[in-house]
Amino acid sequence: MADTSTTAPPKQPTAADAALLSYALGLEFAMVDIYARATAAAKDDLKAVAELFGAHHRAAAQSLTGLLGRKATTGRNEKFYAEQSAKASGGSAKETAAHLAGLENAMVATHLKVLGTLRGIDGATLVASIIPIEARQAAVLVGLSGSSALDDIMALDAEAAIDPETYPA
Amino acid sequence: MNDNAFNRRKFLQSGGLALASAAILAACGKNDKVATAYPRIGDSPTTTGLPEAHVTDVVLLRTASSLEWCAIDAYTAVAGLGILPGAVLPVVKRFQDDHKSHAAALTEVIKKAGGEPFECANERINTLYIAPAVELITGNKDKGIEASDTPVDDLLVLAHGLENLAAATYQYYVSLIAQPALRGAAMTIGQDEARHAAVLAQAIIPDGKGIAPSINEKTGKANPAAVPGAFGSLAAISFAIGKTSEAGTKTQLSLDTPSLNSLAYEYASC
Repeated sequence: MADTSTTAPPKQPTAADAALLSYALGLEFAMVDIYARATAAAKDDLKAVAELFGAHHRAAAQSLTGLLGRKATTGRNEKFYAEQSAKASGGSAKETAAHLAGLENAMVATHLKVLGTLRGIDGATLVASIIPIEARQAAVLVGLSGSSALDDIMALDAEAAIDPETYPA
Repeated sequence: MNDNAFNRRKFLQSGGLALASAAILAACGKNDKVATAYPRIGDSPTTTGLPEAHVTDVVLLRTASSLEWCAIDAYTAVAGLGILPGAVLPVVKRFQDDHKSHAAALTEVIKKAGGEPFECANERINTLYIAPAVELITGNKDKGIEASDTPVDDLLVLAHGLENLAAATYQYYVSLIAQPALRGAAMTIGQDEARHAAVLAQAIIPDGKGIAPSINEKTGKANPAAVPGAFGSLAAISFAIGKTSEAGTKTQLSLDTPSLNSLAYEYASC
């Protein structure tokens, strides 16, 4: 028989959880600003989509802030924003969509990595509710980039997780 | 004194009655045929209790595996109906292959966690949700159910509902799973199901109109949406399929994530 241990995990985020969630929050803030820039530059269908998806990242950021309280970071991940925002507004609609799809996939991979480490139930539950939406957004953006290949839509690269060493908080 | 004498007499009388009653009862007791011939209040058949069962990480993952097998079987049945257009078949094949990969991945995760894999469909989910839905699409003469007038659309709507159910199940189970690594493994699969649902929503409502939430003007119900909100929903998944009534409506179905009475407990086997 498998382990039937009834030791319950903590409800609130541990100190280590808070650091991970705060890092994820900085990335969400960056995504809000990246989408704001994409929305301003985009037209037609992509404009409406970018506005909607940006609002979803804002909602995620607000929820993470609410969970972390005073431990929450208040600013975006600057290096991530600086490197990624220009590509979200400079090209054609398909290029922009492709870039945003890549960012959504990177966010999914990052959140999955975070989720696999979090001990507190509240943080894990919140991150688990954000992941499927970002995956859906990636799927939609792949379509808007001009690809209908299921391999592209379903692609998730665990190695694409955003690394705190490359993009420090 | 008279009272005492009366009482003594009454006592002896009642005592004698009690002795006589006891003798009769004892005699009855000696004869089993007589005693068991009459039903008595309080008799009940012997019952066997259910095995002790705990909701562990392994049980939750086994249940997730049973859902994957439900999806595999459902896609097999859908493809076997022979009514899907050629453009949809590769999608069905791909999604079925994905569910097979998920089931295989779960088998490994369950083994690693010290559990026994569960490699068959969840009977309760099949009975409660999938079989009745398929009947609404294909019809069932014995039950007086007419076939749907829009079977292809309904199959896509059903598939969308089942993918949403799978995605919601993984998301919900994260709040119940104790080990962080297993939560991550669960949502790695859950996000795949969410992508499936997004693809199907856009197949049901094409041309970019199926991306954001919208309302069906005829029914007043929510249309399928690729991205239905800012957070994954754990609410019941509702959709309408089957033959269109004179009022222009279809049968409304509702799916909920597997709860205590639908789990693949460790004592259960395929």
